[in-house]
Amino acid sequence: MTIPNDTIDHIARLSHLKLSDQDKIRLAKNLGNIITFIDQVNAYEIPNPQASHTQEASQPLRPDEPFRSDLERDLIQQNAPAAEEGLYLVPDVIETSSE
Amino acid sequence: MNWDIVIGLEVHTRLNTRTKLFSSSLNAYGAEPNTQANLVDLGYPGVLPVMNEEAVRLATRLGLAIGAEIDQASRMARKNYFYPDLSKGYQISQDDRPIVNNGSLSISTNDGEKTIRILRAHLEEDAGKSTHSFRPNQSGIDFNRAGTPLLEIVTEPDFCNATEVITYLKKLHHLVRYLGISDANMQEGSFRCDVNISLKPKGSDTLGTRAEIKNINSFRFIEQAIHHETERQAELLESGQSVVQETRLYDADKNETRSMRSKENAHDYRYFPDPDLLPILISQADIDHEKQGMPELPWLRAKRFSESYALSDELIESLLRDRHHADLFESILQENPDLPAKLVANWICVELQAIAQRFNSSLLDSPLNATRITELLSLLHKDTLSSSGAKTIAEALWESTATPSELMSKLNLAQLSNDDDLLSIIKIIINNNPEQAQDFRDGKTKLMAFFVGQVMKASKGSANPKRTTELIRKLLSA
Repeated sequence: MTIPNDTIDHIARLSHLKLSDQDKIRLAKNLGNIITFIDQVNAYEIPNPQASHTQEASQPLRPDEPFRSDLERDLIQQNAPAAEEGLYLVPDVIETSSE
Repeated sequence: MNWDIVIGLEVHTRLNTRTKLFSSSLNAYGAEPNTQANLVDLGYPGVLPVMNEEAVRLATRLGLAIGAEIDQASRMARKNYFYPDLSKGYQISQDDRPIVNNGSLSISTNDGEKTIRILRAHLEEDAGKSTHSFRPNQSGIDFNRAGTPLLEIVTEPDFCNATEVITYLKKLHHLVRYLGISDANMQEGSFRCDVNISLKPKGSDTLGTRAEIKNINSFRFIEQAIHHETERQAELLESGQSVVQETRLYDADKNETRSMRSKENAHDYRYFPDPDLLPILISQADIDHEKQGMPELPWLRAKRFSESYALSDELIESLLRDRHHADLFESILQENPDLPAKLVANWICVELQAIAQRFNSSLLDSPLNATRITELLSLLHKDTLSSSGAKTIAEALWESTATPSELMSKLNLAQLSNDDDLLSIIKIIINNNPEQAQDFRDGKTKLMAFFVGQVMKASKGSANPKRTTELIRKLLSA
């Protein structure tokens, strides 16, 4: 199975990836192989297909108690390409949207 | 052409927890950038989210308050989109199994009570905050807000105009504050509103295409945005064009809405159940426990106050604005049931508020508890204190641990109201001023001021002026 070009373009846009034409041909094939694999899995009959979790298990909850982490900032920011005045710096993104 | 306006709302309210939804970083506004963002909030590889039980409890509380169904096995989902202040590349939210379903709030309109259906309320984490062009061509990102717990409360498209919208929002805003679910501070973004608007020809059953106006954070702007957007859509439709389904941003400075993204560029969020989080099981016992611990709902309490205390609607509304004030009101009347309810309510809502403002504080944070206020108001009610004396003592109470009676003696504010004591002073004054007394008896009633003045002077200002006047009149007309 091959993924249509417009689907590749759509996924690339959602991921903010710039792809060359060659990339697109390669990815269309790779993603197609993944879909084929999933189709093979889907071909098997599973009694309860909604079972994404063990039905009895539930989410353990955490008491609402703080653990202060302010000493970590400088350490963590050593991993960032750029940080100033405590803020992480990234290229400006024009289209707005924090949800 | 005449149009029906159809509006639905999504409100994001920040939950009043100490820590974030999935990490033990502080959930507090205004800290130094990135000092409340740990590895979980930053989306580091290998970390796992652990759900905050208090957020689940607060969501349950809201659900119970709006008469909704609580999903006893709700689950978290990933909402995927790409943006720098969302470091994981997805927001943990809820999709097909929100925690709260099918509730409602009733609002007062010109045509009577109207029920607004609340489709759902779901838990989700907030994103970080971007400061655009913080440096040339660069944005600065603060992740303190990332992972703070939000409850998104979604209505059915049940509103017909801006007034209904504002009435509902004010009621919901008050409710979440009253129940301690959220501080709902709009300036700090803890109560934000997205408005979905469409128009349809009057009487038609078919909904028109809607536009969504995002993130408006003041009641006035919401009202303006609705008026503006309604006009914009009507103009489009009346000139034969069509409304595009899109997200628009309200610009308060220009009073206009602008397109943020149209449907062609709309995000495809590719929701799926978050494999890091198991279903959130809530037992019936948990729900019952929350129900029992829940304060009386404000609208039920308002009804009870109105039936039991004969207070005006304005005064009741004022009392209920802050749950602590309504609690104080009831405790004071419990300590001394002889106090008139109106006097107590007025003191809580007016006199003590004024003093609180002078101290830049609130009644809740003050040393004035129900017992001290009861004693003060009892002295006032018995006429042992004048109204101005009571105010002086109320102010002194703010900075003292003494009782109102102690302060009254210390500040020499006790009012002379006892008839025997007052009469003995008045008799002396009348005996010492026989001519004025005769003139008064002959009809020169203006001399009353003279006699009251003399009594005040003799009592060093402590005589109760009302009772003094009554007694002088009685003696001189005998």
